[in-house]
Amino acid sequence: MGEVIVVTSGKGGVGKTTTVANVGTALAMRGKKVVLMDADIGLRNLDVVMGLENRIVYDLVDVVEGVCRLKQALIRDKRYEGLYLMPAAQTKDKNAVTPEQMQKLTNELKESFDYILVDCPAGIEQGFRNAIAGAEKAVVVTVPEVSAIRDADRIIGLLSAHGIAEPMLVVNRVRYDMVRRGDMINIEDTTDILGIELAGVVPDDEKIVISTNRGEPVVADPKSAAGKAYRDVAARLMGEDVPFAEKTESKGFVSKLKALFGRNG
Amino acid sequence: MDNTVAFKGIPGGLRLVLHPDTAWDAVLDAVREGLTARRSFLEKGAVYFDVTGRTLSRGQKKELLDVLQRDVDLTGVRFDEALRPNPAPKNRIVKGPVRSGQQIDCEGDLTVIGDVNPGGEVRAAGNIIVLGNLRGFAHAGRDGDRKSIVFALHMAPTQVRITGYVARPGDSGTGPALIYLDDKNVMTIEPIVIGSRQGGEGWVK
Repeated sequence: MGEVIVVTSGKGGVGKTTTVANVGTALAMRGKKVVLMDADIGLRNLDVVMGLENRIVYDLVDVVEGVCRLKQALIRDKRYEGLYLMPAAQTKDKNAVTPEQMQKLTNELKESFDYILVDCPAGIEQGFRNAIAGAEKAVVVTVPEVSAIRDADRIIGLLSAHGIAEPMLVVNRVRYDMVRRGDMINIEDTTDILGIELAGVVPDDEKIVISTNRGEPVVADPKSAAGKAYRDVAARLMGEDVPFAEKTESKGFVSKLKALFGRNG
Repeated sequence: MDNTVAFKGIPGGLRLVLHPDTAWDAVLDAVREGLTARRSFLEKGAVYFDVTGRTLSRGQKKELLDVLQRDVDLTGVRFDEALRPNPAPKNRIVKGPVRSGQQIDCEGDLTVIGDVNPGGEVRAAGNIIVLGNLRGFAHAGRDGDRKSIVFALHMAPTQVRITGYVARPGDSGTGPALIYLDDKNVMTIEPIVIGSRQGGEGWVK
């Protein structure tokens, strides 16, 4: 029986789709059978980020309306064994499905997959209610900014009211240099206010922009710091105890010297 | 069937709490059963009955008296017409965090064990005590009790109101503090140093 995990945030643009794409891919890289489900009907993005948009024939609304069978709408990612995408519809909107229909869909998927990651749209209205309908667990994504944290707090309260009790937190787009200068909220203050367990801290990484445009999730790149962070999130979701990396991005004078003279300088 | 009649010991006798909706015959049966079960207690001496939980007609009262008097030495029976044996407690204790968008309201004094996050709102007719960080909105004395206070272990609210008066403590919000309305209707913040003896001026309830 698989786990249905909804990835949500309240605030838009903090990295839900990127998190779903990368954590899902990382889980598949670990041998799990994973479905990435795009619940952002009308504004679908997960297909683009995964580089699978050209292969969409049927979508989630087609399945719910009975136009096609569930299997026909699932797109197999040829790069990773066991990784599938259930795309959203682009020409409809959030009212095209009900929470009950979503729950029926995820229940059916649970029987053949280990993880179903649901990419939740921004907001707290119908789209959100649809996305959380079948979920037992949640990952809340935020960035270290007051507005995002405020929205994340609201979302955590709403999740709790809907029976999803202990979501895990991903703090995204962290810039350690700004944190050190005191220009960006640090992780402890963020988890202090939100009060939920940390699933991962993802540094701001230029490679994300590139990978999104190419449709190649960054977890595949061993040199990407964000990729490593997302692989760690996947490991923690699998129950592994992965310690959080110390802030090693030191661009100070001494480390620049070290870089100049090589490791043994 | 179990909560048709509840028997509670009181000084000098028993309180009978009758279920308000159960059929009257079933209530009488339950009373008879309960009295039989307590035979040894009832035989010890004269007994007083306090009957509550249900409004009874004259006929019903008579029937109940018949049952109570059988084999019992009665000192008295009182019919308490108030229908709520357990009035709802007014004071509330709420476990935090009170999250953004959540609202807590209280008819009496409200104690939050934990934080009130920004965007969260707590209101009370009485006092508000936050055993945590108050970073959201608090409104004490909402019905006009100007002696109400707001206390927090860390006072950094977006806004505090007492009755109709508004305050937004500056960024000096650090340690424990309480906010009260002084004689001149000025919202005053008084830091509290825990573990030391506080001087007498300022807020006195």
